[in-house]
Amino acid sequence: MSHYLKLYLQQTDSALKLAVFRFFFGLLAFIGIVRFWFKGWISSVYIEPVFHFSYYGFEWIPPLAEYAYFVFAICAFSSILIMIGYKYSLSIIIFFLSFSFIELMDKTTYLNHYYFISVLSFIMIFLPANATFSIDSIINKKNYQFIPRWNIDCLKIMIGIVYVYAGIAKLNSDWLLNAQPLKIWLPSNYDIPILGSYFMQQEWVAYLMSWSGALYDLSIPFLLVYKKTRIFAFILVLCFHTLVKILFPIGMFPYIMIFVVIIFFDKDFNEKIINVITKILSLFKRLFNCNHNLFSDLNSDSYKCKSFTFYIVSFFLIIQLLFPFRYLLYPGELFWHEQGYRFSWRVMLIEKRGISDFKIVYPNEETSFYVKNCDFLTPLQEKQMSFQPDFILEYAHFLGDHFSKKAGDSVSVFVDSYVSLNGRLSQRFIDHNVDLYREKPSLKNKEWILPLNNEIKGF
Amino acid sequence: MPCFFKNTFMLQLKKTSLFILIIFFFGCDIEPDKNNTGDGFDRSSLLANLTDNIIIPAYNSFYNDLSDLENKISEFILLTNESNLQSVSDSWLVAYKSWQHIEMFDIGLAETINFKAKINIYPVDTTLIESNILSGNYDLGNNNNFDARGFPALDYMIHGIALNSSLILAKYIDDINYKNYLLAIVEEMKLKTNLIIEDWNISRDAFIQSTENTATSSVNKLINDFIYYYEKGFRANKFGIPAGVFSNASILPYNVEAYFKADVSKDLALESFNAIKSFYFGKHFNSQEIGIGFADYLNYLYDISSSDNDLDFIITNKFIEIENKINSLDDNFNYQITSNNMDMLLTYDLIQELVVTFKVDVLQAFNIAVDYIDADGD
Repeated sequence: MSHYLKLYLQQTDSALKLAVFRFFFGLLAFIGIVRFWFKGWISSVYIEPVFHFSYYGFEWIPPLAEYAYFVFAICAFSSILIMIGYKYSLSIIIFFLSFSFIELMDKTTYLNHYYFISVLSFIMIFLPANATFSIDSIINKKNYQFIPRWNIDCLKIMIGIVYVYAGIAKLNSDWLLNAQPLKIWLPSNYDIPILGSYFMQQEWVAYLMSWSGALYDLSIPFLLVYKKTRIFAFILVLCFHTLVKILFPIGMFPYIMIFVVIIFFDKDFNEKIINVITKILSLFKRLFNCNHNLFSDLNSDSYKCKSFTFYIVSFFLIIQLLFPFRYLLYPGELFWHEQGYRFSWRVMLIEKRGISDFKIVYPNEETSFYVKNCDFLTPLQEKQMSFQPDFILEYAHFLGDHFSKKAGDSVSVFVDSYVSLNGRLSQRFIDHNVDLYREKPSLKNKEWILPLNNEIKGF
Repeated sequence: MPCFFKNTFMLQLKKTSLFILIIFFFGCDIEPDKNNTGDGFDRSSLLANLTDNIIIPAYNSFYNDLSDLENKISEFILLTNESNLQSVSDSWLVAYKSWQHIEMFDIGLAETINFKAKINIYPVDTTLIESNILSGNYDLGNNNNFDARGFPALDYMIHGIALNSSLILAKYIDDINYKNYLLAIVEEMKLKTNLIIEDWNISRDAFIQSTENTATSSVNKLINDFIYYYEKGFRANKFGIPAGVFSNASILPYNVEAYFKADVSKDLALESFNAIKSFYFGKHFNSQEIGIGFADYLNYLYDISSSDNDLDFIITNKFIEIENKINSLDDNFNYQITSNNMDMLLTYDLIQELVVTFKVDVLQAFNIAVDYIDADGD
């Protein structure tokens, strides 16, 4: 065993692959941050709300008010440094910390691809992505042609996990047998040119897209690994993500997924990409009158990674393999109670809407009233809160604190909550006789979530 | 694989991927097709029906009723007697009912100038009204006077400034400032209504063509406004708030609509409910004819998704249930909540059930976003 491992660790691969990956990672992260900024979302998501929803265990992350711009600026700056490969080991750590910090400030905007970026940047901390085609390699005059093979493989495995787990999550009766939620989402795309007015209105299209989507997710990493199917797979990746981009407001996700799969291609392909980038950059080079040749001191040795990095990354990947299955620890329907739903590559799986009205009862039990959610939450927060139990509990505690302070005595907080899942009729979601202010937030099963009147079979 | 084949293939791949990438980056926010009518449901006809047969006729009728009220007030100012006061009161009620068909259309200029806050904010601030009258120096267009104008202010002026009609008459006879204020209120209402009608005549064509699925398209705005009105203007203002649902007090009788003539409060609520039903079914204003409404849209979606949830059937039944329940209440909501608030609360609960249906089930079926930001199906 350890013999094979030793042999494996001695294998090398082209350093160019990782460099191209690094370049596009930095570029897309930068575009993503700037886009978020220009859409005014820094303000509407992180600054305007009076109350922020925290992740369990990360309540200590402070809402930064105007300083959020500062963190975004740091994050954008470090992504540029990553792209050009300048002071890479420091900038990737700063990027990982600042990006994760932003995501941890408020869970209202949780997106799987933001989590994906955090995960990738964590792995990249341990990879020599500046070994070639980087400012660092020019300055240090150390330009490596090779890096350990596992540096590339760990990224392939991570991308494979994302796809395969997203595919497994689609193997359920709602997705496959009822074509939900696509049956709800597709017809509302009636305003898309050409496709909208006819195809999106057809029931069979929803089924076709559900099944091919599941098949795509489950097979694409394997099709990318084998050389014979790689080009076909890449065409599939392009088509799939173009369609996704057109149909759903999913932001940077399609671009990220397209560019990360370039890592599956061989050295030649990556070299061609670098040539194109160099040509573009050479325009700048003339501008700055800079005479460095990017590949001048090419070192034919392989970059040596410290051995502990391999074990850290391996351990991290094992956690990634296990973590999405934590939902098995909770009874009931995952899509309904969403305990263990996040951080598991469950993408575009459920259409949920809810309404949650909170009743504040004063200690003497004689008087009570309903809270206007818009007094405390933005429309986006209210929407997300309405159907997610951890949000409901957190908000109930916020209301409990707020009104207890006002009353000078501890109030009770009850909720009238109704939720609809994947086109089912709405039903009561939370036990309205439970005083949520007395329920402690924890990772334990939330027994006050009422069961779904229906069974979803599968994963 | 022969080498030359591979190379040409790679070249082609490069070309195609470049092409797709270009489409990506330059076409990433694809313009919605504004003139689509091709799918099974014709949103343009829906919008045309709602605009031409409900919104615009309702506004015109409202304007005529305001003009009539203005005439009755002028007559009352010339000849201040009991019977003219009564005809002002009658005309006020007609116009107030007419208003119930308009409040939900918080769209275009009405939204910009916050029309509903100019016409129907209650309870009124009687101290502010009296001080306005005393000083004779007021601008009813100014938002500081939001609770000293519109129908609730008229209600106070016609029914509330003194204990009974002869004492009210005496006030008008004694003090010309009361007459001036009465007239000023209705003139301000008429002025603003006219502005909105003119705006509708200009924007009507663009409005019915805006059928795309975006935050600002007409279809989505109408649905959101309709549901908001049902929840706030109808459920909360007319039932929930007076019954004490939102306050740490048992009841708030003073918050009943038309407090100074509260025996019409049920009438106003029923009129509002009629407007809600007509809008949902696409029933023409002041006519029995039924055109395309949101009910048809729901049925269309129901058909293409072979769903078991006949939302239209559920909503229609709830409409009947709610109407029966409101009819069982006292004509006077002030009397209802002070004598038996439990019935008012039960009515509120029934109304609330339909809020859930609208906000959860209907919005899910229409797939209308609350806010527009990146999402991956949460």
